[in-house]
Amino acid sequence: MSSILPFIVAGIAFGSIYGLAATGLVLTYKTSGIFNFGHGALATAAAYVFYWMHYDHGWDWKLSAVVSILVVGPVLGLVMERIARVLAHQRTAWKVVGTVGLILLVQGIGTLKYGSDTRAARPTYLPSGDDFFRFASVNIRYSQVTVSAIALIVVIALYVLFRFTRLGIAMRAVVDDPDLLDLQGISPTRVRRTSWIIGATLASLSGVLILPFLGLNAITLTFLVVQTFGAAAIGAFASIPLAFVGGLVVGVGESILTKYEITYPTIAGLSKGLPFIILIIVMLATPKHKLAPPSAAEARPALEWRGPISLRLGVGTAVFAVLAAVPFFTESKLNPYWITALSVTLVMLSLGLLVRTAGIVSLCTAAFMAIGAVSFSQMHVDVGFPWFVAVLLAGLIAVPVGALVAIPSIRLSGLFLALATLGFGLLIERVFYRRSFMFTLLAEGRKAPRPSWADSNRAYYWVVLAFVLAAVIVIAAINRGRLGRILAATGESPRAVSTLGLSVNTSRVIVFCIGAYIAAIGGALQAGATQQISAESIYYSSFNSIVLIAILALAPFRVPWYAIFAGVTQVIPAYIEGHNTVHVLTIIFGFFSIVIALQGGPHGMPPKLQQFFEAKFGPSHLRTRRPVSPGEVDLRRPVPDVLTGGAPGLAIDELTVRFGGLVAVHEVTLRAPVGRITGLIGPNGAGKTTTFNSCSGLNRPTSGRVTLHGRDVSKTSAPGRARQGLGRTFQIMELCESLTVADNVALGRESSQAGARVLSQVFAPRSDIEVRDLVTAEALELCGITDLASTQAGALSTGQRRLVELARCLAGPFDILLLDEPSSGLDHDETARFGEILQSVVRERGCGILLVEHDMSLVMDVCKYIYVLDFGRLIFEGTSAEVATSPDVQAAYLGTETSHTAELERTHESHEHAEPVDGNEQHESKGAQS
Amino acid sequence: MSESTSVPALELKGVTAGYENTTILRDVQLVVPAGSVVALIGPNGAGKSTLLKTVSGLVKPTSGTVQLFGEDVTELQPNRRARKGLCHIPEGRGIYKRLTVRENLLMQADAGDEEGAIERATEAFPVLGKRLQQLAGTLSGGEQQMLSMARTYTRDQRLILVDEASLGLAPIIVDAIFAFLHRIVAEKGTSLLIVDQFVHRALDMAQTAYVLNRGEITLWGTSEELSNMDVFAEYLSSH
Repeated sequence: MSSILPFIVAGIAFGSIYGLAATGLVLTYKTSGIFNFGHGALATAAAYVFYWMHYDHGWDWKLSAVVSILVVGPVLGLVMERIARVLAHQRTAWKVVGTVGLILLVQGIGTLKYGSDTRAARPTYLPSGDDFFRFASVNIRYSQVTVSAIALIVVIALYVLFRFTRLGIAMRAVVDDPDLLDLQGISPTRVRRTSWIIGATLASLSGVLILPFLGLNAITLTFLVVQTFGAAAIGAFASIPLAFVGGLVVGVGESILTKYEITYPTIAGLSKGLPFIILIIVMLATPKHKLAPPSAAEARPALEWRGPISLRLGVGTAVFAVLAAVPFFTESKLNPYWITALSVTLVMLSLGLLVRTAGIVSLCTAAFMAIGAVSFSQMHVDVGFPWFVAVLLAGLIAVPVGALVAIPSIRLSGLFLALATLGFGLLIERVFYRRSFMFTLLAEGRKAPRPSWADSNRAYYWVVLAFVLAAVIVIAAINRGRLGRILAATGESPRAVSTLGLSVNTSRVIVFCIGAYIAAIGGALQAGATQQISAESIYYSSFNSIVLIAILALAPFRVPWYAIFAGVTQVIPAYIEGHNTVHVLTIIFGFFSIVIALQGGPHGMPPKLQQFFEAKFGPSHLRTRRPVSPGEVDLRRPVPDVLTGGAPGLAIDELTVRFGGLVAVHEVTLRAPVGRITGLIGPNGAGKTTTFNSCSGLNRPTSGRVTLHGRDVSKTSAPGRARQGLGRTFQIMELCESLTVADNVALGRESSQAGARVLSQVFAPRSDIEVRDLVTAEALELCGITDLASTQAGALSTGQRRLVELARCLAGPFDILLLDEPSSGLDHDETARFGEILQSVVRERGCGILLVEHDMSLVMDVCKYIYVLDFGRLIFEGTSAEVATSPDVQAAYLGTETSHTAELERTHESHEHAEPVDGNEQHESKGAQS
Repeated sequence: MSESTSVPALELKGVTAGYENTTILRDVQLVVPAGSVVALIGPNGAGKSTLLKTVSGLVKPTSGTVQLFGEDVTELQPNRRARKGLCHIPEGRGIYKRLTVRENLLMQADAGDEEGAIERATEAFPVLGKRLQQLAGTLSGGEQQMLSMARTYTRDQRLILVDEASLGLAPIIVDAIFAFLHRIVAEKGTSLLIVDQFVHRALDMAQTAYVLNRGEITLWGTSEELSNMDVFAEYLSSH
């Protein structure tokens, strides 16, 4: 025990610093909704300012500390608040990129000024500085005591602020409900600004405190943030006291592990991996809804312009001709610059597929490159496979690792997935890179020879170029094909496509596997540039993952151009000499990735240029796309056999849904047979949407049964139910905003065609495409939106969007449609037309519709039979005439209290409820959006 | 009545408003005379809550103006409007569930008047006095609504907007809520714009009433006139 004690003491000092930083991180994240990946960069900035003042200019340490903590901190906080306010409305990927850019910016500036070697910063200035005293037979440094004491005092002060001051309460209130705070006369913006000032000041304090222990090193300091992430994770990213405790746990844990690493070499590196292990475990174990970041209305991306085919082929040929000719002009710069440019292009194609196509931010690309490089070396050098086979095998070995990283993606979304990938990358780097099965402990690492038939720089360059060309073709095909479409759709609206029949988890695993495969091959090819690979190489460091994301963020245009652009940035240091070039580039990448994230992504091709190119080379692919001309489509389809035989359609029996102690739906039984429009009405919060979600498998009923055409589907997944014929629309519309109307509607069919199998998700047989185009044209025509086919969905009015959602549902292979308030936002004429469409759909296709609707006139017009819900219970069912004259229904709607039964229900239902039923429905739909 | 000037407490002129791609309100004209009670009724989804949010500033109109106490506030943030004496009690319990009752009341109070505010709130709703240290989210629905409504009383308010205060509450609680509103109007002469599913109760309180259907004012008049009409029929018709 006594031998552990010194480690615990050291751990507490570090841990309290982590805890301080974590407290600031949680504070800013909770109040603003922006998770600051650059939190460590703020700490680093303050540490640099302190170093510059105290060590460079000899200022008194107290003055230096005051300036770097209490001036630099608040100023950074103010800047961060501005950044966060703009980022709040950008999509998740940009929220991540915007703060990740800070790491590069600060790291670049720091290294530019002080170089990349660690500079010592002994705490000689602190009271008794380096001295120590003995307590319980342990040597304790005074500096350790000072640091822990400062951290503890600050955290207690924060606790008091939050508990007892008006400002502190307002900070907690803004987390709960910023609008309410606004209504009460307190500006949420000002409260958030204060939080950022405090958060950034805490970061600065932690940076200055840790400086004497770590010394001045930009990368070590900026990555300090990951210890902070682990600490914050222990507080579930929500609790400030727990985040501080988490800091202590991480600090002490790390310290104790270092002791055992000396005794047991098998666990070497584990101490450095601890924060990520904690981070990943917490994220996998925490209930999903607890990790849902606060959602705000997000800006939609611009519709991407795809140039005319002749233009693209022409430019493509020209670019590859130029790349192929490079060795004739700059023989001396080929290795490593131009070869690296090509391997980075390859890696960017993989990263772009994840980030740009699927909207998943992955921060562990470098780990896949490393796995590829090492596997290649093992396969080629150790096992003796031929070069080409070894490269392909290296890619394959990374695939299961890709699948492993994909597992969190099934649970986590956006921000937290990015965090998990960062943690994973750092874990691999710190725990495994120096093991004998990876880069080994040797300084020279492993051999990675070039193929014997292409040993010269020139020949090897061309070999890599051939790989790039192949990858460009594959990635372009993926983007244009089914997989690209469903990935884009899954990125934008996973709920919609899964209720249309697509198993989105399969898609996510596929994209990670493809990404891992290509990145690993990129890593293996990169290895051939230097022919030696080691754990020290910058290409395989987690820092490189961040650089790559930043470059990808600012690279313009579509696939494959952004990847080639990103690759070519790698040759800049070859032509602008001096060893500062790399650092200046890092600063530029960091700065512009922030700027571009703030504006929500790079600008597309300017409209004037688009017009110019279209005039020269013919119309773009996108604008010419009009699936099938309406005249060619026979709108009358034979009614499927299953429907004519009086199929029962959808049946719900005794459905009860509870959220915690709250009964949202209570023993509801209803029938929605085919060939009829059935209404489901009731006041706000009656449980209608909850019932729908139970039908389509989006929530878990407490009890009851859902049957579809006589088959019990209660245990079937949402996509599974869709594939059995159950389609739906959403109250809060779920369209893929960046896609065209035609693409959105086509998803109605393609989602279920792609289904759950890997093969069907990747390849679309010709017959599938024909069917899809036919039903798409038919659905567009039926809804009267054929003329909108090539408009971007995000640009439509609500009325049009409702029609697109209906058309998408009609394009699917569904015979039961659940429509959730389809007419809200429509005007009178649109509503009338909508009613006609519904009736003709039922008449011509013989499908069944269950309609939730506020517009009573529409319900009365089209519904043959109506169920009325109130407080989660069925209070009435009957024909529209019966409903219109029912006093019970009137009572539910108008609260006239004429009805004896309604009153009984109310008294029975509402006494001692912690939360109204409608609160929960809102909660559900919000959760769905995020 | 303390405020019997001719300047209305609220005037909406030609207000069209909505969310990103949706127009919810179309060309709405509405006046709340100073010191009077106005009921706003209409079917679900008609835009009543959006109208109240436009008044308090949570929703910005795309055209038209919002005037509070004779002053154009169309461009003002909600918190600036609140400081002019506007009190919007939103639908679905306007409270912070993860804060204690006491902390909720502190947020409702003017700075420097915290203790006075808590005193007034617990005088109006004695049950809150017994729950001061409890988390607001653990209160019963009725108590939550009382906590939310206390804001009308903790500060001097000039115009109160109440959105569906009785939703999901037992009749006995609804009685208490309406009694409280009656009391505020009688004691302080505060102007009131009320939206409630209990149409007849709202009409009983109000002098004038507006019917909102699909974002348009389709009918307005004295509350007697509207009480005598078949409002349910108005809900069922599209016009």
